[in-house]
Amino acid sequence: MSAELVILINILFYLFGFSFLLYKRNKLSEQSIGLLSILINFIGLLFSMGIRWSDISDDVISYNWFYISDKLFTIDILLNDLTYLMFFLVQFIALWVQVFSLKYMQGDPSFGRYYAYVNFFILSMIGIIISGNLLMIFMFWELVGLCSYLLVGFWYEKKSATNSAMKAFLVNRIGDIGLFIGILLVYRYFGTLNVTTIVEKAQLMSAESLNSPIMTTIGLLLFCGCVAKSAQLPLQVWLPDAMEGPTPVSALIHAATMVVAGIFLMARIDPVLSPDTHLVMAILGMLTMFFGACSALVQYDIKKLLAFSTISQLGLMVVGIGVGAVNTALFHLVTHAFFKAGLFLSAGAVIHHMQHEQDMRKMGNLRREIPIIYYTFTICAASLAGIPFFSGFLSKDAILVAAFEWASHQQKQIYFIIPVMCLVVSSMSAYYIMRQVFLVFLEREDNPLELISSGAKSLYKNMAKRIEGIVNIEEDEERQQAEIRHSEEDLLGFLSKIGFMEVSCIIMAIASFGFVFAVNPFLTESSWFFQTFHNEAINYQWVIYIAILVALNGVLLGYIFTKEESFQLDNDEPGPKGEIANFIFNNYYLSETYQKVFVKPLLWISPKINLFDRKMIDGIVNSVGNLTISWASLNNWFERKIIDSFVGLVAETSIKIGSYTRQIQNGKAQTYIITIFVCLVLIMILLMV
Amino acid sequence: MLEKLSHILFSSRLLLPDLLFGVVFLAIVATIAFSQKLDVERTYRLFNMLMITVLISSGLVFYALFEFYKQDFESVSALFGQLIYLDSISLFFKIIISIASLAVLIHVWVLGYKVVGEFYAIFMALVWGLFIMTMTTNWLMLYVSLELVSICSYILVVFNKEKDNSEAGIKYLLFGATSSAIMLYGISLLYGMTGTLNFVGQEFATFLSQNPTWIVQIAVFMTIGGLLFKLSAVPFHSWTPDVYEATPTPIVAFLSIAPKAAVILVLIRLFSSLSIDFRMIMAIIIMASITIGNFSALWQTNTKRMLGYSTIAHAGFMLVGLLATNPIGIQSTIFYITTYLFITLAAFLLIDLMALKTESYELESLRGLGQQNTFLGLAAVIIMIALVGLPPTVGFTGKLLLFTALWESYQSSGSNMLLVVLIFGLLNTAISIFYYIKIPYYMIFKEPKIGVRYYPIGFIRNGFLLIFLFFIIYLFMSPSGLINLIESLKLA
Repeated sequence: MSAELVILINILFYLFGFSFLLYKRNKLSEQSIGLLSILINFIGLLFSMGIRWSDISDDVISYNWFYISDKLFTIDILLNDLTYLMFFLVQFIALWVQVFSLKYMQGDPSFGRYYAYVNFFILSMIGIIISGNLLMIFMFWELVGLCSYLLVGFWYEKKSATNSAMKAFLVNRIGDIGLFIGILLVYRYFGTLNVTTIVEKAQLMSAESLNSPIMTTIGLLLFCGCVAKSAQLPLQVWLPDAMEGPTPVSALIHAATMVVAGIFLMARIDPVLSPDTHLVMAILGMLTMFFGACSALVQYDIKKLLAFSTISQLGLMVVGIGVGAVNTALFHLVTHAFFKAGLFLSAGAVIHHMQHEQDMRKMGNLRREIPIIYYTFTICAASLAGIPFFSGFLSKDAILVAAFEWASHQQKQIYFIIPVMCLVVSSMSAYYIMRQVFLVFLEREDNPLELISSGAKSLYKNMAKRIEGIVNIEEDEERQQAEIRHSEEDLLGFLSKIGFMEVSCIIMAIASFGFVFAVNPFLTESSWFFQTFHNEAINYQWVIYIAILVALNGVLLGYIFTKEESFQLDNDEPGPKGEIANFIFNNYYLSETYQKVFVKPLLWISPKINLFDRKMIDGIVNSVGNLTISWASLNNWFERKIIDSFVGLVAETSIKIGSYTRQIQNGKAQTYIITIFVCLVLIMILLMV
Repeated sequence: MLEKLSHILFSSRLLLPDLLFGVVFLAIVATIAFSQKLDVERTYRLFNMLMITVLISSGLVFYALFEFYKQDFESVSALFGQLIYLDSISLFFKIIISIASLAVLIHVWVLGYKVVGEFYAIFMALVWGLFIMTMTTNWLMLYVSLELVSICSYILVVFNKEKDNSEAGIKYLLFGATSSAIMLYGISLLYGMTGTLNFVGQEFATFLSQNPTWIVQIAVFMTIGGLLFKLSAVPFHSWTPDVYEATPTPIVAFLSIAPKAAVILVLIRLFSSLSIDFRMIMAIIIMASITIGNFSALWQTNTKRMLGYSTIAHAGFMLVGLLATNPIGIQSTIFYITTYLFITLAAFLLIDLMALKTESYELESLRGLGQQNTFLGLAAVIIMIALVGLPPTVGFTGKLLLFTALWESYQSSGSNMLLVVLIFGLLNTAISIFYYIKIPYYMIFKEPKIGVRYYPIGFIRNGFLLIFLFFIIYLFMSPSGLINLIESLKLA
């Protein structure tokens, strides 16, 4: 089976899953819905792995779609390493999110609808990934936007959820306008929408023509789509609100897959982007990264904090593309997808455990109650913070290195602000994630160092006992038996706590370890990722050590300050103390500003326009309409008197003819046979004459 | 001698799938004859499965052969001393007939018709006869196969053993016998003129043109009388409504497409080698068929009878492509038949499903059915629109191709007669809207009668109908595949 056939079948599966589940959403039991959906996803995952083995690469498969005059539009499927990677990634994360949702969404009256939407989302996301031309990408782009809208507003009984969904949808529309104009300009300029052709043409361009204003305009317009979808400044306002949706959805759509679609698009068309566009992207990404991290510092809502962290990390990826390190940015996209999905799923488990309480101030000490989640969350958090041995460290520092290298090639020293800001944000992210771990899981007076050391101590003791037991095998076998039984019980107790949620979190946590991506957890080059994708930056390896220091520093500071903060937490206050903190907490009042600057004037002016429309335009239309009506009544008279009587004549004639022809059919066989002979004779006469 | 023997062996080998039908026929007859106490239900289900298997496998074999012949353009196998010609076009028609028989068998099975075991044997023989008819260019062989088909059809019509059936069957038989007699008379005349039984050969054409035209025309008209009877074209149409009304719907559905397809192929072969101008009579037949079929259908209140008249009109449309006497005409005729296969089978399945729901074939009983069952209402709209020949259904494509071919023929020959036929066809298409749309009109717009009990239909039956609907729409959307296939066909 060829790869494109596999992909098409795969998509059809999801389409079937969507329509079937939507159709039968109230009739099937939760078990069968979940099982069906997960089965489809699992088959898809197997398919995606199967494709990777079959050896087709850099293939564009085109089908003719439609013509507009003589312009041919095609359906293109682009198969390259990036497609395969994302194809696998999306389905892998979706699978575990679906497994997680089995427990999380249990008992929800709209269980079937939820799974139907998730199937539809996977379908559209795969669509973006395999699309080989911009028109198709745009169509699927809109579809994922729709899915996001549907899933954010999933609990539509809640006013806030519908509002958030609306907001996400509208904000995304703004970016889509830019993207669409950009696509049209691309068509105007390159004469095709096929991504491969566009990229080839762009690579053949001279430096001057690539840096022309038109190319910069195209690049910036395309980037507009990315700004909205990947929540960059100033359109990032929708993402924190999108956390109104179910938490697994946040993990799948608003952390791991959909929001990175913007990054993915930029990576696909990177050669088209002019140096100026790159610069704008780097600066905007830097600002987003910084402001997102600032907001994350002061949040109390467990999910909102993660949302702001996502914004910040997306900013980092945009910086990566801005400084020309596309593959590095993609690498961060992959690692981020795993650990952020892990963080969200773990947060979902926490929320589930706390009976849907999301305020971190009311948590604490959950380490003992849900230990598995504690471990998975901590592992993913360490990955986010950029601690060595975890995946986040590899990718984040690769971007850092690339940024330094890029800055060193620029003429002005001022460009070094971007890598430096990366370092700062890296430290900040370590800080806020440590704060979250502390507030949610640790006892307010716990000391993590002691925990680690005590843990290590008990581990060592156990090991020592085991070894002792092995050495003194003859001595008191009874005690040993008891011990084994004891440890077995421990293990069983531990395993019995593992449900659907825990499994998903554990998988994500495992995928957040550094060794999954690289043999040597300190050396990014050793990663399999960069063996497939070319790594852009290789100098400035010393940056990594600074990054480690910064990250650890962030963790330490986070611990100390949060401990301080935890003594004076005020549970009733909606925001933090201090005006600046409040300003940051509320996302710089961006939403409120938009409300005042754009929405209010619109609401003010629309009744006026409405009035004008009704009085003036409607008046004209009405008078035209009246004229038409009088003309029509004239016509009507003509029609009824003249034409209808003609039609009536025709109809009457046909009915009369029919009654004659029918009369021959009187049911007598002899008449029938006579008819034949009469006809025969008639024809003979006709021919002889 | 040895050469002849090896030729016979070679011929039999190529006809193996057809011979299989004979074997199965004998097997079924033997089973029925020699076993006294059979579990009736189970045996018949077994027969049904057996026949479906045979049809599917032989259809696949035909398809394989078809691909083979398509690649090897010139290769036409004259088998059994030129009694039988096997070429790509006959294989194509055999595939069409296989599909039709398959659909009818499934129709019988899905709708739960109680049939006796002999039905399967007779049906098998009928299909066999049609297969032979598609392959023959010999008058004798043609007559034998036509009689095989006719006799089997008579038996199928009277199978229910009720008064209506017997009456229709007797009419059918008398009428068929008369047509056969006329046809035999015509064949004997033609044989006397040409001295050959093979009607595609060069001698046939040469000798024929040595005779006075009007005598040849009359002889040919008499000869094709038997074929027109199968096609239910005027003036050999009178049996149609009575038989259609009395006979079980699946058999009617089969009679409305499979024999007609085979007959059209014979006519294609005949007219492509006819050395005289026969268009005048054809035009009269076409116009009479279309007019009588459509106008009589206006009056009908019984859906089955109405569709009976509709098939008369469609027989006229099928002949339009032959009138055009150009390759495009022939191709569009084949396309029309292929699409009509789906449309007519769907139409008869639809009225059968509706009859299942309301227990009546009367138009009145359809009141408000579409409101109660949206799927049936929608299906009725699609199928009836396809029968009229309006987009977005394949009926439109078929009619469009036919009339285009006729128009081109008119452009090149300038014969006014063709233009008259064209206008007549278009006008009649408009008139046919009246009665076709009646069915969905009654279903959707009329208020349902109060207190009527509807019977449920079930998923499988709806799904079966859905397959036809899919083809009706799909072939409209992308007819290019089918058209390319038909363009690659080559006459023997």
